[in-house]
Amino acid sequence: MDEFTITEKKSGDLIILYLNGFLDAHTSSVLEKKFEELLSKKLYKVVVNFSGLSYISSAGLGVFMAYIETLRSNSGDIKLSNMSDKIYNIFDMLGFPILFNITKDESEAIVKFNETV
Amino acid sequence: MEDTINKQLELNSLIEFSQLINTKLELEFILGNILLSIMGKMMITKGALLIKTDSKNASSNEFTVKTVKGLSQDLHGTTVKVNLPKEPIFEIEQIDACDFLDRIKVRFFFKIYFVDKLIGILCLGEKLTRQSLSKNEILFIETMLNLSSPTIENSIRFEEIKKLNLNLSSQIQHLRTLFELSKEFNTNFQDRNKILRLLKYSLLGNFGIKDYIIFSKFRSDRFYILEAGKEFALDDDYIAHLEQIKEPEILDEAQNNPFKQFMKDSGYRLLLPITTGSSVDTIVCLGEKLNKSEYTITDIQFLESLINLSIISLDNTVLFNEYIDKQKIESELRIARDIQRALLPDVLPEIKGYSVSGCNIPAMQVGGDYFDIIKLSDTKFCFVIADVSGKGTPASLLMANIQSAVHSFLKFYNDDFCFEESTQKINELIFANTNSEKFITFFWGILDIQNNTFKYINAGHNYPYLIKKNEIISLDKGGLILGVLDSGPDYISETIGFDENDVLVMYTDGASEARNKLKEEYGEDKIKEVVTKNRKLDSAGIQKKLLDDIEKFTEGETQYDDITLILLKRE
Repeated sequence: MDEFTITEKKSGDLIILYLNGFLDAHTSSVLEKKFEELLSKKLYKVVVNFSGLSYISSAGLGVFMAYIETLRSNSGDIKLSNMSDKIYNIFDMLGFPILFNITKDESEAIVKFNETV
Repeated sequence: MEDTINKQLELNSLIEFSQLINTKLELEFILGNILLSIMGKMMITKGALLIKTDSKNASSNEFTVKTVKGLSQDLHGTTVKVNLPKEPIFEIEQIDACDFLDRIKVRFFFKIYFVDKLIGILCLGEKLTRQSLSKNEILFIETMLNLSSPTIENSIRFEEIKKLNLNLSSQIQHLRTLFELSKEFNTNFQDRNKILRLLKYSLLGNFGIKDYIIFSKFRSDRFYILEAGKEFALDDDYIAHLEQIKEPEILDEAQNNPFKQFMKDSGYRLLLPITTGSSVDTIVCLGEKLNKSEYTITDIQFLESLINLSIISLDNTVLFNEYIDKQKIESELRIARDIQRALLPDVLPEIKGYSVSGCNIPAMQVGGDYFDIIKLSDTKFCFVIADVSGKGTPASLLMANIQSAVHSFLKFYNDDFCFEESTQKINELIFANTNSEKFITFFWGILDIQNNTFKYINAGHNYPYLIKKNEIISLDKGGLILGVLDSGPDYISETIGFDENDVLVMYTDGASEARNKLKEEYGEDKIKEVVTKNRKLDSAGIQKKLLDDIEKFTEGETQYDDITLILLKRE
């Protein structure tokens, strides 16, 4: 079975999620559970680092759409970073850059969080 | 001299310009540059570049505004119809005034050709000097347009390919989604919530949308909200409107229908009715896409497949759960049947001078029939037949109750045994152990083979019949059915004599009420008739005749109650 894992790092009130492997219909529930867990811990500021992700399908994209507003309404956000061109193109095709902050690397995303504080 | 320098400058700027635009493929950048260069050179403050909307349709006169300068940027992206004169250039007075050209106060008007195909129009406003264009200036503009037309054509093609690519990528995404989901749904078809969640994420992720509602009649005769991104109060009025939607609708302009207007105001852009059965049973309602693009026919096809796949999977889930429930019921029935079977006698006692037989044929739903023949002494035998109300496990448990009560009382059987009092005690026990809806029809009797008598008490059970040579006695003495009243009137017993060849038939209502296709009942009279006709046979023989006759009567109809028989014959 295609593997998908998430590791995380806490930095102040920021959470950085590192996605690895295949994010598809089958594994989307892993990401969903992670967001639920963050919500329950009242952690609303999330940077998602895509450097280890090799594939994303619509169900995976859908999870980001489903949580962005909840996080923002709690003065948090989801910022996306370190996407490969292949993955960025998928996000771009759907117009995600309009709604999401997508940065080249993780540190830029963290800086953006600090700017808005 | 000055003329030569001017020419030199013009050539330089043309070369520089063509070098710049040839390195780029973005149409808007190129057109912006062309327009600005010309406007700067001619000292014109307003201008626009229009490109043919459909480059493949030579006869179309529709153009899309690709670049505007010195004018409201709102014009960007709008389409206009321009009726073109044959001549190459014009000042506005010379052509039919059209609304758009009027609005931007166009004075000069150049056609852009690639080879001999018209690809666009350059519109220019008044010069600062209010003068017309000189021959040289016209030549400059024409040269510039000729130089850039291959680049424009290339970048139009490039845009088209980009668009095709985008469509292709999104279709690949759609196909991947369907592929992944069908794989996923097939392995997870027992979980309704998971199916709905994946459907939701697929909608959000395929279109980049925030709002969606799925109205459905899935396993219902009216629309309800199967899944939605945000709260939506669905009332009868809306349901009536949903019923009217038969075609896909894009909610882009003001709607004359209040429901559609409401949906549009709530941010929804697409209403898509989907047929999974014979009529529309799902309506998908989607918000605006993040990339602002409109819903296309391929989107609609994808949605139809996605919804169909999801509804079928949901249906499978329901069927699967029903199957599981049925399995549970069946295993419960099996338990009930096992309990019942364990409580019925395995081997009937031998009774000297008598032949005896008994049987219980369980129905599809286990009833609570009980029969027993218990040897009390060498000369005394107790016969019990009872029918517990209700079916399934509860009935079989109550049956276990009465069986153990009967056996307990009979353990202490001796010459002082009081039949009536024991019946009353069993009644009290059953009354205490059940609620008022549960009751037991109960018959028991003691055969004394020394005196050839049969003493019995009938507590509300179907009358057993003692079939004698010239008469049939109904065994109807006794009292109330068990479990209804704590202490009713006393039970009374009766003792009857057993002559040679007398046959006693005891049965439950499963036998007398066995039904045929026409819902007719077998009836007590037929029981009496068959037993009488066959009273020369032994018990087992009579029993077989009776069962055969019942089977012949019911013609294989499924019976809903157990059939229990006991036959006792004095040989």
